[in-house]
Amino acid sequence: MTATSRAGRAVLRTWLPSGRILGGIGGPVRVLALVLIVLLALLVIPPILTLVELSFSDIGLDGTRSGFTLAHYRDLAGDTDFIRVLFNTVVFAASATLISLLLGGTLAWLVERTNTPFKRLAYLTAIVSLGTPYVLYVMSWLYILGRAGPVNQLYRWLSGGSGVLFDPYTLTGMIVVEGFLWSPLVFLLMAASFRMANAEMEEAARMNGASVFDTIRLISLRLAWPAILALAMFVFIRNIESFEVPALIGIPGKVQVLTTDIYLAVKEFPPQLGHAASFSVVMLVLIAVLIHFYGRIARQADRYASITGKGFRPRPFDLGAARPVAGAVIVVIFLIVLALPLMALVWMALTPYVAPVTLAGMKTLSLHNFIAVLTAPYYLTLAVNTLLVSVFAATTAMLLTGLAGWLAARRRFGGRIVDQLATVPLIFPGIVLGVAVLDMSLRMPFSIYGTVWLIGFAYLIRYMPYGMRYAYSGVLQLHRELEEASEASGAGVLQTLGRITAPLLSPALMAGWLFIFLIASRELSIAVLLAGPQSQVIAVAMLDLWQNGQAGELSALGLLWTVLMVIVASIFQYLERRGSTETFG
Amino acid sequence: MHGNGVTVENLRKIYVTSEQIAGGIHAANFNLPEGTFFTLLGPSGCGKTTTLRCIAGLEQPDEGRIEVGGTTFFDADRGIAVPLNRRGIGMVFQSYAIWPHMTVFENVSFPLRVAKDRSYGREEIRALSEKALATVGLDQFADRSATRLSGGQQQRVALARAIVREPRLLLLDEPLSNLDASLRETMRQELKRLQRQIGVTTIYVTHDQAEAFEMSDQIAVIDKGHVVQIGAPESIYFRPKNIFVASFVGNTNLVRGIATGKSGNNAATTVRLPSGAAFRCLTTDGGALNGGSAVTVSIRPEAIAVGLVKAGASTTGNGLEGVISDVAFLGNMRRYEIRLDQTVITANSDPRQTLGIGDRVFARFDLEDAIVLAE
Repeated sequence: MTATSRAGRAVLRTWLPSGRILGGIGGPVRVLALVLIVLLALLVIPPILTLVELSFSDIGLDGTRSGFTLAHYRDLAGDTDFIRVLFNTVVFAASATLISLLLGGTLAWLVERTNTPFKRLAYLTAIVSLGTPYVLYVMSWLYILGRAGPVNQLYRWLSGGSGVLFDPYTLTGMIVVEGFLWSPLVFLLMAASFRMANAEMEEAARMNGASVFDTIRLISLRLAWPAILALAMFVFIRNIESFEVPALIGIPGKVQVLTTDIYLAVKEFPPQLGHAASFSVVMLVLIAVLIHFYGRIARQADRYASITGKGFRPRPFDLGAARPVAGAVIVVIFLIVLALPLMALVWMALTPYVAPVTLAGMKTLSLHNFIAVLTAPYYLTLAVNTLLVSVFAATTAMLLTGLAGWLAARRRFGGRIVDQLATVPLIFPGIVLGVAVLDMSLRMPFSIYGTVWLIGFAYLIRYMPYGMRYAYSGVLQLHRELEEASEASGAGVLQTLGRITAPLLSPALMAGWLFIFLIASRELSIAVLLAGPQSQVIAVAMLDLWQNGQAGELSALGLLWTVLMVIVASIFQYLERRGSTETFG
Repeated sequence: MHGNGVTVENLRKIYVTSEQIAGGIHAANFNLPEGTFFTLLGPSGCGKTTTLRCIAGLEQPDEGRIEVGGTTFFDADRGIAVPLNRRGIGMVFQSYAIWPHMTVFENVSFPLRVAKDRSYGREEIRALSEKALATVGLDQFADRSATRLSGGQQQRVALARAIVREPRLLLLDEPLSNLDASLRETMRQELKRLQRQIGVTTIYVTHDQAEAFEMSDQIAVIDKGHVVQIGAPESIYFRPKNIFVASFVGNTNLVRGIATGKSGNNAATTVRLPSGAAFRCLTTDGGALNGGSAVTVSIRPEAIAVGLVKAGASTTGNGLEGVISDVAFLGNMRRYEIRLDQTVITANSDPRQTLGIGDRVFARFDLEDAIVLAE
């Protein structure tokens, strides 16, 4: 019921002191909501304030702060590098978005709306990719496209020369790899909206005399357009925040984007904290603006999507003679996005040092790297740390957002505030949050820097919006009469929450938990500035191994980790397909 | 009020959007003796569900007083609002709201397990739940998962859950609207039988007049947030107070004319059509008339007997003369459209009677079947 009772609220206010309020409106829920508001505010507001304060602080060489300054912003405005970095960022993000939309979108349409063969292969590709740490993925691409890799090897063999066909350490290289990186997720999200689209709309157009081409042009694309635009916006934002590709390819290739610029400023000695903070604030504002527009487009997309029928299986489009071509497209994408990188990883894991794929190389193959990974206590610590922070972040986030989502979806006391608070962290690129949390930890009266808990808290902050999305839509799917029936049966609000809402909401909370767990366990950009010697997580360690040239052990470690994560991702995908299909991450 | 009767006084709950009133109920008043089957009848959005939800405690009224069985549940003036979970009311929701993570037995025994006023022992819970399930004919289904029930079975579980505590008041919010037509008919009779058997005061919300007539002792017709008429089904049908009630409850002919003379409440009067034709009709209570005022008269199609007018013969009795403009055979009746001078009225007649289009007929009806309505 959207209308609110104005008079009713007035009456209610006058009654508050007597305490005789309806069970649902007052009492324990109000207390819970207030506690939650305080908790969420403590989590999400300090990082923003810290960054803003830092960006206006005059910081001495020894790290002491003395007064207010506009110098960092002034430097920024007068810096030609800044314009170049901004330009690189936008070109990188936009082009990579285009590639992943083309690959993922084509694949999704083929799989969900046509009778193409190899549909399962497309899903396999997506699920395995979902469980692979990005660092690993980028690394295998660098090997494939790199100087010693099979592509340039083949080129040299064909041309007889000694040059390279393709140098991945360029902006183009970054774009290609980032585009590949995101195409599986684009596929999953687009497949969901194609699956829900109502084929009757298209059939009606055909019945009214439209040709197939006109139908696609005037009906299918028009209906899908807001959803495609929203998805493009979403991927674009994520590409701007992207860190793995810029760090692994851009830094050695001297192509800087915003995230790597911030990273390098902090890593420099002495750290350029003011510079990093002012860049971070610029990014916060940029992302906030983009997210605002994303929200508007996504709402429009939802309006279109709500026209669709439910529980309805669209009739697949008969490709006829083009069927083998579609099948070939799926196989090629499978090869590019999954098989080649995995094969490269296996090769690197089995060879003692990075070597070209040759017959001679075959003789040196050994399981040495796997044995090293499985026996060294260091790697066990990594795995334990990573699982610990991921489980902590996922569990805490779902506990908090479970309640927050309920308050917001049921329009209870404080619902709107907790909704806004829990979605604020969407504006944090991982590296920016890293800078903020790093600075906060150094100013804490107690020592938290260098512990895994610091990383856990940063993850919690960043992933709360995702938890909120799962919890909120989960509650919306629960008929409110299920709760009302409980209260009418004599149960109190807390009893109702515990015995009715919580169990019924648990599948949605479980799916949210797995989603957060998956992305947390491969997160690099938040952790890269926070991980100390005693608090390494796997993605950061992989970056170190790569930079130290230990590609063999890294590949072995990565493959083992990927197997573990693919199992988790499969469970997640199973739950996801059973439940709702909307949620853009 | 003795026993578990219900008193609702001046109940008001208005929903407003930023500009306008968006529904709710204005000043509802009624008094129900214990054991009454009372129906709130009206089109969707009229405020009937709001009224029910206020009584249940799911909504907070703006004003008024609600008393059940001598206990005040709500009194705006005295600042009393008993929380819904302490009202001891049984309620069946439109969606049934059967909890899918529980078995049938767990659903039905839930109110006993969470009761605040007293604690029930394990054996007592079992006995009472089984009794409630037996009452609705589901004693074989106790251990079944709630997700494996048909619509009709879910409805019974919801009912069993609502009566398991032997509540002093049972609220039913359009409980039959999600069932298919044939099941709905069966459930109507069963619901009524059940209510009579338990003897619980019941408030039922529906937009279906057939349901309301078949089950209710008393009906309140609600239009745009106002209770327009309360009465037994017969009086609602035969003596509607205004145009809304007359046309919402069954089909009717509305004939406009001028009252020829002054008349009191519940009195016979004569109404003249613009053509000069006149007929006798009855005013309602509170429907006193002055001569010369424009009135609308409701005449039910089945109250009209149609007879051929033979040339030269004069017509006898109360009625109006006209020409048949359309005929439809519907199996159980034959429906005639009869053109008077300006209006067309419908008459449901004997299916074996064979009059044709163009026949000049006399539409005869009794005095008490022609009711003068308030505008």
